[in-house]
Amino acid sequence: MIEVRGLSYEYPGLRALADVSFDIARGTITALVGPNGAGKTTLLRCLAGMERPLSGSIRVNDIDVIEEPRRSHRHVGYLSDFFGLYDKLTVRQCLRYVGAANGLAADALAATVADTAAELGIHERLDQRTGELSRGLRQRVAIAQAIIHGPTVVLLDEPASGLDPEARYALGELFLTLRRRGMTLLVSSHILAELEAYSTHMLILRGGQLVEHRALAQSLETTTHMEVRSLDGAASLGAALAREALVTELAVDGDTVRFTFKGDEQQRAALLHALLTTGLRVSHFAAVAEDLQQSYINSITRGQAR
Amino acid sequence: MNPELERNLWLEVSLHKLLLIPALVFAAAALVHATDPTGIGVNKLAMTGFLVTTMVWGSRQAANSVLEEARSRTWDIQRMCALSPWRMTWGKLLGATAMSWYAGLCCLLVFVGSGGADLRHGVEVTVLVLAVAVLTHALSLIGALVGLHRGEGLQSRFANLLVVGLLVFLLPNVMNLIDPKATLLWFETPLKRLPFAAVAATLFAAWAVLGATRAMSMELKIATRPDAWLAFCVFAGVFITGFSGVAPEPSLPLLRCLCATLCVTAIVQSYIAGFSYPSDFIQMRRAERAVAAIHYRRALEELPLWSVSAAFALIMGVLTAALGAAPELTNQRLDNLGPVALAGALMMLRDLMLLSYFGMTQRRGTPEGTAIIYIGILDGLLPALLPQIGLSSFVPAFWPPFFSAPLTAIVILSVHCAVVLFLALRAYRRLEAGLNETPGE
Repeated sequence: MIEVRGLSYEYPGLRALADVSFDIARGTITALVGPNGAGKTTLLRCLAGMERPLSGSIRVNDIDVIEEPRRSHRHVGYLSDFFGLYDKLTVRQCLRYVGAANGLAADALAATVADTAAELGIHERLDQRTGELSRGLRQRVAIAQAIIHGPTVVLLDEPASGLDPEARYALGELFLTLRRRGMTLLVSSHILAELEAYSTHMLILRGGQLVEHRALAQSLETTTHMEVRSLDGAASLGAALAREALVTELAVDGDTVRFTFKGDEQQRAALLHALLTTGLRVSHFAAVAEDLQQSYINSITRGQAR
Repeated sequence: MNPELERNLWLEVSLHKLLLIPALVFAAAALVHATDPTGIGVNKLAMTGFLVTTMVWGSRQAANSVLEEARSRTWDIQRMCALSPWRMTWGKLLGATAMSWYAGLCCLLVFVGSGGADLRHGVEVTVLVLAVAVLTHALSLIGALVGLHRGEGLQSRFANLLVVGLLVFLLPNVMNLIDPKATLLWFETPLKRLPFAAVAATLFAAWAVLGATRAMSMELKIATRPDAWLAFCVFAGVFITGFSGVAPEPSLPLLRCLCATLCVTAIVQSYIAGFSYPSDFIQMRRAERAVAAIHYRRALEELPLWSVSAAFALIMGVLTAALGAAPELTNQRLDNLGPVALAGALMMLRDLMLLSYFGMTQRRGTPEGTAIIYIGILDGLLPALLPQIGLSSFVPAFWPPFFSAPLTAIVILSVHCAVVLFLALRAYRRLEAGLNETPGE
């Protein structure tokens, strides 16, 4: 769906993206995360065909975005971080304009506007000027504009900023609905807990370089974060775990030993058995669900260590 | 309907304006007619009204059709839609200026109604003023797009000046310009001035609309080659050559005169492009990479616009010199057109490379301002100062003797170019090295 190869982008005196390559599969929601200035917005704008990179290639739906940006726009929806709306136009006019400008047929326009507005919960506001709407409603209009033409790829830069918790939850639900409709979403956000609710993949950028890109759900099946305690103390427990091949990122925290275990349930059972066999009196042996925040921190830490 | 046109009409047109504007125009016409029943006053007022409403109000609206998008952060919406640059351009040009056209056409109606002239004259005047209005709207739109490109969010000062200059020229002379009896010489052919002006204005308006479409393409990140830029240079060169009046002179055959005019036109265009779209380090990096990858089409797309017309100016300068007879290639005669043109092209090259140098080295302020200051020092201050301190013999090193010794001027300006090129290349390599040392932030 999205194919990026060797993407580099430079601002005067700053390399914003350095040889970034990745593929994003159809029907996924990828959380684009990274510290401020990591290159997230630049990457999204390049994918949307709004910036011409220094080098590399971007293909969306097999369309070369750099060579044919306007053609690619029929397949891509983009919501900017600092979006604006035509304040003097009504919601209906805004949606009609964006739909028509993206090639929607005139006879289908009215129905598509109504459907999209209903999906975003703004159907009762269609004849209200956007300048009169609240921040949350404006955000919904902006998202409606990004998806009205039925794009296959939707790029969203900090879509939940400024929204209250209820609106954020609704936004997450909307993203899941869009995914079920076959859309591919790439969502940049600083609020990792919010991304966790709907993301299937995580793409981490740091200093313009790709740190990690992986499937979240899939990795949890084979990689587990564990914490173990023993009545014999953390030191001996840590020493025993350090000998295990599938144990990585071992850390002693008080009387608890935490580590990442790269194995399935069978191998986890075998690890417990091995610890008990050494005579350790294990009092706590549990898999800790990896949250996106922790996952991000781990990836960044690994990236720095490398 | 073009969605961009429709959107602009939603924003601009209201019943209130539709009723108020003709009421004001016709009331003003009736008032003037009451004081001057000959109709001359109404005629003048109507033409002035047309020019002011279309050129001032319309131009402002055309520019705002882009600048307002930037101010209200809606430009990204436009950049993300699938409309072609052409549809976007004419949608803005016609839609954003809709009410100024409406007012202008009311004025034009009064003009035609009060003139008492024959139909042909009326049509010629109408074509002329409509073309001038389209020309100014397109120039304003180009100016706004240049301003947007430069991140200023302001209309280009140059485009503003051009529109104001055109208005200042037209307003006092408009009745004289539309005199049906006046004639002119173009390529030694006597022509009636009014139809000639109408055709010329229409052609220039078409070029301006094409220019606006190209500028729009650039802002929509659609790669464009500089073919239209060069084609306009040739068009303008041929148009101006027609007025040179030197073609019959045996010492200046038409072809040579044309080459010299093309050289001068290309020099002027290069300065305009250089200061409107200054080349930056990233653009040069892209061009360099495209050349390294033997991707010449991409390289042409990435090259700074000024560099293309600058190269054309140099070629025309050389051609003008080559077409000259051997005795002319000396330092003796004032009409050494070829060497003078070539020296002029080299001076332009030096100035624009200096601008590129400051673009790469200056952290604060505008590189254009600094470049202008340094060009002023080189070409004005130093040549004026040196004789005062008894160093008159060094003056040609800064202000070369273009007309008295053009060959010497070429040598001196070539040295200038070499020095500035060295500085620019060094700055470029330093920036490149800095990027390679610190990937990412």
